[in-house]
Amino acid sequence: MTSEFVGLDANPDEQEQTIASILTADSSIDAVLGVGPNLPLRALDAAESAGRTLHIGGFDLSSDLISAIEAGDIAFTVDQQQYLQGYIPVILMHLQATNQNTAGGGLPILTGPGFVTPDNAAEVAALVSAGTR
Amino acid sequence: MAADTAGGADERLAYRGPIQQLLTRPEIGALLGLAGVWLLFWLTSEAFGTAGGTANFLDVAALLGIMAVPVALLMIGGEFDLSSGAMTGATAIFVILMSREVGELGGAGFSLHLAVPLSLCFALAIGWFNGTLVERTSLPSFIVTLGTFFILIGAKLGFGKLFTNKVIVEGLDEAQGYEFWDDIFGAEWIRNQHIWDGRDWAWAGLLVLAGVALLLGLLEMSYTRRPDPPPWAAAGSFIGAVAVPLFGFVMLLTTDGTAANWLWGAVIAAGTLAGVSIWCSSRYERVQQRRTAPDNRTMRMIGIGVGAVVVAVVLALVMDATNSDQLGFLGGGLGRAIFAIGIAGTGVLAALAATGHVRSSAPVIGVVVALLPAISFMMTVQAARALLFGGLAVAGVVALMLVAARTGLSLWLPMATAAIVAVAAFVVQAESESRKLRVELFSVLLLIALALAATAAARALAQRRSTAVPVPQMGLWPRVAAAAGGAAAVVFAVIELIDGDGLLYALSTGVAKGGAIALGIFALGTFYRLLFSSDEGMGRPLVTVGLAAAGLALAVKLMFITTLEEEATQAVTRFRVSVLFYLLFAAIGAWVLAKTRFGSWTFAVGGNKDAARSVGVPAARTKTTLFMLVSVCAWVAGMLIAFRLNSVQANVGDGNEFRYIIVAVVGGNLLTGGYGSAIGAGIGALIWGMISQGIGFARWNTDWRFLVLGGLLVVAVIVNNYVRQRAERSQAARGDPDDDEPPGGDADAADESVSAGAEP
Repeated sequence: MTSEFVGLDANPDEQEQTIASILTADSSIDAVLGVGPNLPLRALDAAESAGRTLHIGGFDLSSDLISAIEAGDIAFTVDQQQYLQGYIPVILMHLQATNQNTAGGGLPILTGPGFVTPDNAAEVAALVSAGTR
Repeated sequence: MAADTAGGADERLAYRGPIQQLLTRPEIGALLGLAGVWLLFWLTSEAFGTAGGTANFLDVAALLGIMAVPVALLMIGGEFDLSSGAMTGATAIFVILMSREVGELGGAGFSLHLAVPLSLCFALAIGWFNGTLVERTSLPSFIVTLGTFFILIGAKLGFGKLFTNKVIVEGLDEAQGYEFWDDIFGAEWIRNQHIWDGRDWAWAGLLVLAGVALLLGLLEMSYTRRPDPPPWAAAGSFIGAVAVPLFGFVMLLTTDGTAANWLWGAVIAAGTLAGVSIWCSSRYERVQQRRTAPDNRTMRMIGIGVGAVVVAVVLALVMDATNSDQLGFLGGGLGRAIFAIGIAGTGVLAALAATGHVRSSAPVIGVVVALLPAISFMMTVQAARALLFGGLAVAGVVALMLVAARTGLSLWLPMATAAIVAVAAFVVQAESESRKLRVELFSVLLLIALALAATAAARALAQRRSTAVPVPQMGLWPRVAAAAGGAAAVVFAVIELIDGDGLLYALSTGVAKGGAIALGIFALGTFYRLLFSSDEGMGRPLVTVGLAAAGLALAVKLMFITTLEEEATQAVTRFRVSVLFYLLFAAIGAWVLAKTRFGSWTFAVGGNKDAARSVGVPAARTKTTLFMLVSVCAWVAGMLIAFRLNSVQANVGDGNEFRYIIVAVVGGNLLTGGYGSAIGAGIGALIWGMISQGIGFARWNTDWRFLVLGGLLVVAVIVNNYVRQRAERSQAARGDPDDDEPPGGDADAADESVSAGAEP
C-alpha cells in the first residue's frame, strides 16, 4: 500500500477541484484522508465529480461532517477531543498545586483519540451542534 | 511597416494591421500566457482539455475572477483594497449569522429575504467606509484597507464565536427562504443531465461559421478593396470558400477510414485555397511584387525553423500522455553541481552587468540554471516533453513565418511551412501511441496548416491596406438583431419560468437562446452586406461574428453531453453559477471601462488625480464608487461561498486579496494605476485556475506548486511588459502623435476622459 501527501490551497473551491483533478488523473487512488473537518467534505464532492467511490476519513468534528458520516458517505473522523486536551492538564495542575494529587503514575494520560463512525455519529451529533464537542 | 504608410496622408490614419492592433492591447501578455499554459497542460494530461477538466479549472477561475475584475478597476483608478479577500468571507458569515435561529443556535433569526439584502448593505457600507476614509484622510489606500482587513478578520472570528461558540459558522440550509436564494447563488448546471445528440453537428456548424467569418474578416481588415469588384467573384469564391470545404467537412464526419480521411481532407484544403484565391484576386487590389533573393541569414532562419518542427514531431511521437513519473534526473551530485554553477553564474553575470559588459537582464540565465534541479523534481517526464514539443513547434513555425514576412518570399515559404505542419500532423496520427495525440493534436495541426496556407495565398495575391478601416456601415441589421434577440430572450425566459425552473435558470436560458438568435440575424446581415454592398469596413463585424460563433461553439460542446458519452462515463461534470457571474462581471467591467463616462473617469483619476480633478472629474466620488464596486462583488463572492459550503470557517477568504491583485497584474494592469483592462483580469484568473488545477491533472509534485505559480506569474508579467514596450516603440517609430496615451482600445476611453470630464 502506498500513500502520498498532497499540499492543498486554503480556498475551499480550489481544494475540492484539486482533489477532483488528481482523482481524474490517477485511477489507482481508493482512499483520501483529509486533515481537518472540511477537507473530507471537499473530497466527497470531488469523488462525485470524478465518478468514484472512495473511503474518506478526516480529523475533528463539524455538523456537516457528522451528517455525512451518519449517511455513510464518509467512513470516520478522528476526534482529537480538544476539550480534554485543554481541560485535563489544567485540572491536574490545579489538583497538584492545591491538593498534592498525582495521577497517571508518571505515565502519559491519553486524551483520546476518539473515533466518530456511523455507529456513534447520531449520539455525537447533538453535542456537536450544541458546541460542546 | 513604415513603407506601407501612404505618403503625405495624415499619419494618425495610418493603417495598423489586425495583429499589430492586438499586440498593443493591455491584455495581450495574458492572452499569450493563457494559450501557452493551456497548451502545456492539454499536451501533458488526458483529462485537462475535456469538459470535466474545463469545469474544474473554470470553477477556481470564476471565484477569483469575480473579484479580480473590480480589483483591476480599482487599480486602474490608482487604489488598492486589501480588505477585499476578508470581505468575501465576512459577507458569507454575516448572512449565516443573520439567518440562524435565535436561541440555542445563536443568530438573529431573520428570513433570508431580509438577511441577503442586509448583507449587501453591510458590504456596501464597508466599501463606502474604505473609499471615504481614503479620500478624507488622503492616506494611502494600502494602510486604510489594511486596517479594514484586520477589523474584518477580528469581527469574523469574534462574532462567529460569540454567537455560535465555534470557529465554523453552520446551518444556512435551515434558514427561511433558503430554496429561493439557493436557486440563485447555489445553482449549478450538471452536464450529465443535459443530453443532446445533435450537439456535435451544432458545434461543428458553429465552428465552420466562426472559421469563415474570422478568415474573411481578417482579409477585409488587411487588404485594399478594388473599386469595381466583378460581380461573379462574390458568388464563386463564396461557394469555394464555404460550400466545398463544408461538404468535405460533413463527409469527413460521416465517413470512416484512413483513405476517406485523406480524400476529404484534401477536398477541404483545395476548396478553401481555391475560394480564398478567387476571393482575393477578384475583390482586392493586386499585390505589387517586391521579391528579393534569399540571403544566407534567411536560409539559416529557414533551416532553424524546419529543424525545430522536425524535432518537435519526433518528441510528439515519443510522448505518452499517461507517463507521470517524476523527472528528478538532477537529484544527486549532478543536481547540486548545476545548482552551484547557476548560483555562481548569477554572481558573475551580475558583476558583469553592473560593469556594463553584458545586458542587465543576463543574470536571469544564472537563476534559471540554478532552479533547474528543483524544476526537475516537480515536472513529470511527460510534462518536460510537452513543454519542449510545444516550444519547439511554436518557435519553428514563428521563425518560418517571420522570414516570410520580412523577405519578399511571400508565397512558397509559408506554403512549405503549411505543408510541413500538415505532414507532421499525419506522421503524429500514424505513429503516436496516445489516442488524444492521434485525434486531437492531428486535427489542430491540420487546422493550423490550413490557416497558414490560406493566409499565405491571400498575402501573395492581395495588396495590403494603407489607410485605416472605415467605420462599419451595418444599417438596420444590429437593431433588428437586438430587437429579435431581446424579444426571443423574454419569451424563452417566461416559458422556463412558467415551467417552474428557477429565476436564474430561466433568465440565462432566455439570454442564451435570444443571444443565439441575435447572432444568427447579425451574421446574416454581415454576410449580406459583405457580398451585396459596396461598403468597406466589414472586417470588424465579421470578426465579431467569428468570435461569438466560436464562443457559442465552445459553450455548446461544454454544456451538453451526447448519449454515447453519457453511457461511457462515471464522472459528473458540473458548472456552478459562479462561472456565469464571472463572465457577466468581466463583460460589464470591460464595457464600463471602454464605453462609459465612469470608465474614462477611472482612467483619469488613476493616471493623474489632480489633473483629472482640475478638468472637472469628480475624483472622490469616482474612487468611493470603485471601492463600493469591489465590496458589491465581494458580497456576490461571499454569497456564492455561503450557499455552496453551507458552513463557513472564520478564515475563509483571508489572504485572497493578494491573489486578486496578482491576477489583475498578470492581466496587464499597472500597479501604479491609469492603465489596464478588466478583461485582462478575467484572463489572469483563468490562467491561475489552469495552473493550480493543471498541476493536479498532470500529477506533478504538489510540494513545488508555488514555485511553478510564482515562476509563471513572473514570466507573464515580463512578457506583458516586453510586448507592450515593443508595441509602443513601433507605434512611436511610425510617428504616432499620441504615444503618451496608453495604447489599445481602452486608450480611446482615456482620450475622451478630458472632454467627458469637462461636461458637468
